[in-house]
Amino acid sequence: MLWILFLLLSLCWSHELWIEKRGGEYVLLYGHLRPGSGEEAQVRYDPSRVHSFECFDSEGRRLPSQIVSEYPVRLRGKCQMVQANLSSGYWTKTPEGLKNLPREEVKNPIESWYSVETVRRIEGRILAKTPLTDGLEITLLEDPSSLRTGQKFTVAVYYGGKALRDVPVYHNGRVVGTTGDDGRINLRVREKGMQLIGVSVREKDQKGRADYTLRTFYLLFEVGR
Amino acid sequence: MKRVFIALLSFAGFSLAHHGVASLGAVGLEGPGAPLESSSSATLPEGSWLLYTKLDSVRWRKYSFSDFPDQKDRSDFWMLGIGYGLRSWLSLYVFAPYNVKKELRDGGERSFTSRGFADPSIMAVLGFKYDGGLRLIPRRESLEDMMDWHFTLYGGVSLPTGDANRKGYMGEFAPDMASGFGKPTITAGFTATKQMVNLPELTFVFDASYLKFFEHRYNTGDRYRFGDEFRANTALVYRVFRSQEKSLRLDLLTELNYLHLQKDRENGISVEDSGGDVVYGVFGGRLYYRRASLGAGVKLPLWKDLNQQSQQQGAEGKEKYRLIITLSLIF
Repeated sequence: MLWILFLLLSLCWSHELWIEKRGGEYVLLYGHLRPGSGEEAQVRYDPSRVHSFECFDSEGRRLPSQIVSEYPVRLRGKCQMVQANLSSGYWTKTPEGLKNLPREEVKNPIESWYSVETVRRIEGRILAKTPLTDGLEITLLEDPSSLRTGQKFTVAVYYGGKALRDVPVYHNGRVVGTTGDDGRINLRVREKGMQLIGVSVREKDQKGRADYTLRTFYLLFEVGR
Repeated sequence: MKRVFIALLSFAGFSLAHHGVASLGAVGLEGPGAPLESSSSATLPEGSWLLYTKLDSVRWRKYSFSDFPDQKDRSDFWMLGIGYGLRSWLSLYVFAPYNVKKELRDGGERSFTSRGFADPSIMAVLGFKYDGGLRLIPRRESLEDMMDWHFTLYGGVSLPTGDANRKGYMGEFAPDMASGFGKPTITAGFTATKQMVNLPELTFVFDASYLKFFEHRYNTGDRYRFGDEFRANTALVYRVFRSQEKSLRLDLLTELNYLHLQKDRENGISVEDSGGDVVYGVFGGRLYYRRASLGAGVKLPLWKDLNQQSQQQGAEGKEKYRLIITLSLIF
């Protein structure tokens, strides 16, 4: 019997990670895609925190590209899909606020985590409907060019190649629900433009310098109508 | 760091007609709103329990005691209920009504009050939705899924355990003051609910139901059958406030409730001063905090066409007002 039917989902969505297309370049940005009152639109990050920035075809095969490793980190290439991986490092919550430091380097730590964020931007139809990696991943089950404002669409969340259930899903600034047994959830295009979908999972921090590692994956695509 | 909270839970509220009809409503902090009297199309989450209570407190309009020596004064219809989500698309409920009915007698010089538990009822609600086709309510829905058209079919039957033979003030035959109907009553209904995609604060609800009574032979030898009831309700619920951090939500709501009452029949003969048509308006609100929902409103007869309007003091349509308060808790 399920006793817990009241789902109070508490998620820590710090800043968002996304990729903008500017001319022939893909630009990796960090901050708030749709900043609220008092929120910064963009937060400068250390380019050395970007662990990867890659270009793929529609079947997930890596394509040659060129990375410009200065802020903001950019990628040049003809890509159907681009994916970047960034770690903002250790974060520790304290009575004085949030510190970008591991737990042992702050006084009175309350909660700490190591943040690893991945963003995937898809440009056209991605043929693979199954996960492309063994990591945390969101797969779009529709052709993004077929979507229009007001329409529902489905994504599936995987981790370790398996559907991830009961994970809260974030879409353009709000959590819209949790995945079902098949890892799927239905979302809706609320407004044209960028669709930023995120999921996070917590796992044990291998280095023991934080309470947990927080892995976040963002899927990004644009809807033009 | 921005913290995002959300509660995807459902709360349910129930409607109580004068004879004890239960219906459904549901809401989350961001989900569709729930009315007070109409039934919404929400089902309980699978495996969840619901505790519920509702008061429908009626003040009857009174007239000259020279014309009406005996008049209904007030009625308090309490409803206690428990629900369980057997499946995401099937909810089961048990309701126990407790009624207090007060009359003023002998020109208002005396009063008579009948109180007690009335016939309990069991109900089942089957939920389905339109999402590219009709389908049963899935175990998990996103907030976007909740904005699809949702429907329910519901039905129930009461168990005649109340005291149908309770006598009136002077020991007279008074079926309307009894706490039971003597026979099971059957309810069947349909609901449709839509949370607007472009204005998610607004929820539209439609609800239609039929309540069937059967003739009962009382200890006095009299046979009496209450008139069947048909309802068609619409509601608009508007979310005016929501705080995810505080798990708090406030909705304002308005409803139009149409009620058609057939004439009662006593010993096979229609009771002329019974039955008719009434349209009620409901104005109220609903406050949600964590797992609890508190609803309150006033229900007023806006229009009526009673069969013998001048003789039906104490009947539907002759209220000054009805005060409705509900409290529900899901766990």
